[in-house]
Amino acid sequence: MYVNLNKTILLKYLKLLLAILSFSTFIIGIYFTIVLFIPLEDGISSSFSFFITQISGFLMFLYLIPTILLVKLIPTIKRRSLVKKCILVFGLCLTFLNALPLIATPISIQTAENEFNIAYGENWRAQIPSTVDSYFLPTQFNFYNYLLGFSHRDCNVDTDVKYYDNDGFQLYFDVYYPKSTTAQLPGNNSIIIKIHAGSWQFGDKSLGNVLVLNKYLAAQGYVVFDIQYGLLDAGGSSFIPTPDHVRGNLTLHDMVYQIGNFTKQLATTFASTYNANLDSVFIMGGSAGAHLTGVIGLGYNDPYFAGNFSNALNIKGIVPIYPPNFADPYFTHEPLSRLIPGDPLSNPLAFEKFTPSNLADATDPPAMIFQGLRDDLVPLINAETIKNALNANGVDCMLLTFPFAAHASDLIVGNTFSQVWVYYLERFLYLEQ
Amino acid sequence: MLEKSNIPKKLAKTLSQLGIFLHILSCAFGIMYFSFPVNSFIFDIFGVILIASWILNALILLIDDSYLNKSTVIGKKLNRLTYYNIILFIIGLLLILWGVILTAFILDGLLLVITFLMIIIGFFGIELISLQLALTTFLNIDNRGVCKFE
Repeated sequence: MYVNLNKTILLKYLKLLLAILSFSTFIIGIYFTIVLFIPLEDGISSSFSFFITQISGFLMFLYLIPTILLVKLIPTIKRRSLVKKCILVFGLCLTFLNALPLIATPISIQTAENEFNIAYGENWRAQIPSTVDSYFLPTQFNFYNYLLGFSHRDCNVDTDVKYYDNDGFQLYFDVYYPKSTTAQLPGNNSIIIKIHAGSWQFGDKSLGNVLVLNKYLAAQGYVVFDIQYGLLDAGGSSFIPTPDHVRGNLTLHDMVYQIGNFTKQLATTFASTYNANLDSVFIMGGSAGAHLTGVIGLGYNDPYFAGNFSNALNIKGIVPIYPPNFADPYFTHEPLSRLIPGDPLSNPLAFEKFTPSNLADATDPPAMIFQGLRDDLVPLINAETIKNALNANGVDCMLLTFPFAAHASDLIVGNTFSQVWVYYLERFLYLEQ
Repeated sequence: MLEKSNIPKKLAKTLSQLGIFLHILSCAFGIMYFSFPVNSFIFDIFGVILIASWILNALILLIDDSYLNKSTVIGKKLNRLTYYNIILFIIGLLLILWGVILTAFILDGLLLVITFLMIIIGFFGIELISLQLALTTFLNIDNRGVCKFE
């Protein structure tokens, strides 16, 4: 009798605990769902938005199951059936709202298809041999890559190779290259220089630079150089891991100089070390790295940067991922104003040249841009301006837009946006190499 | 013609049958996928089956909650099983979610192996506990007094 009573009380408390946990999930769910749709100003919400949009498919199940749990926990008494129904409807609404990024995937696919049809003609798939196509993702989106992690073949990785030791700065790169040197892989040892994100002040190679994509592309025959560059130390802090040795009082000129130095060493040393093809080079980067990608890729032949880069590299394409474009206003407010000496009035040339769209000309390589439509840090207008500038000069620029994608929505490669992105990226790289 | 009162019973039976089929299929595909993790059209089918089986598990949970006669011994046991299912489903999902997030940021080594294990354990945990629920529901649906379909 006493044992039974204890068991009943224990069960009662257990049910109460489950009910509290379910309600907490609901409250967190409401907050996350708001973050999913509405840009909130505070730093934490903004950071959450980077990830929530990428895992909303998981979240929808994490709201659906506690909904059922909560419905079960309410005793079936006639007057409580309305409460049950309300909880069920509310939980299903949360589930549905979090399913929207998944449901919107066909829109992203259609946009990408249209861009590719314009750039390469409607029959562009015929330009890719079936032997090559077998290495690529068979479909734009699948659930197994989303729910169980992005599968990829193996590759070789060398980490922390030093390429710069000057002015107290030591900079390193990681290189990802194919395991097999004999197999005819789609990449044909083309080079990809990857420049990491972090608002010119934070971030690092490897962990902060979508390393799964590096591995995936290297396994396809590309030699991916994931590089560090010097960052502005404005004293702030960030959740993005940043090594101390790359931070200092640096400007954009210094950063471009350091990356230019890398291109020179690539031409003289590293290309032969890793059997990389200098005649086919791509530059890729996210956010701040996308800005530098734009400046370097489009400014490669600009007299303003004369002598900065190696002439031995043949840049076949650039891949800016959510790229900031406008030097004014990005570099007119503290602390980023330290990145360009002076202001747009006193130093107009620098502000002009550090706006990638201003560097566009007919000799520039084609571009493929990733842009989230829910990106409140770097809005769509930036990517559109670069695209329009390149198109106006007769250069192909494909702008792939993704509904619900916030800033940094490419970090988890298996997510709804990244899968579509990778599907078209690997084809772009092959068609342009 | 089906009697109106028989419709929920038929539906529950069909869903649990379908659930058994999909969970077994999903496990089989899962073994293939984790043994040979390549991108293939075959696994596209796996992805659809996987998500369908999870949704089906949620539906079976709802049906069990609505029609189970919790005053019988079997009904009580089945009801307890639904609670285990919910808790283990959530734990499995969290394991997979963290595994997927962490694999995006780990280059190699033991930590990467652990994250893969998290995904594998989470996946098979969900599938097996869901299979058990579908199977138990199916086997007990015709037992007199276990469900209240009238």
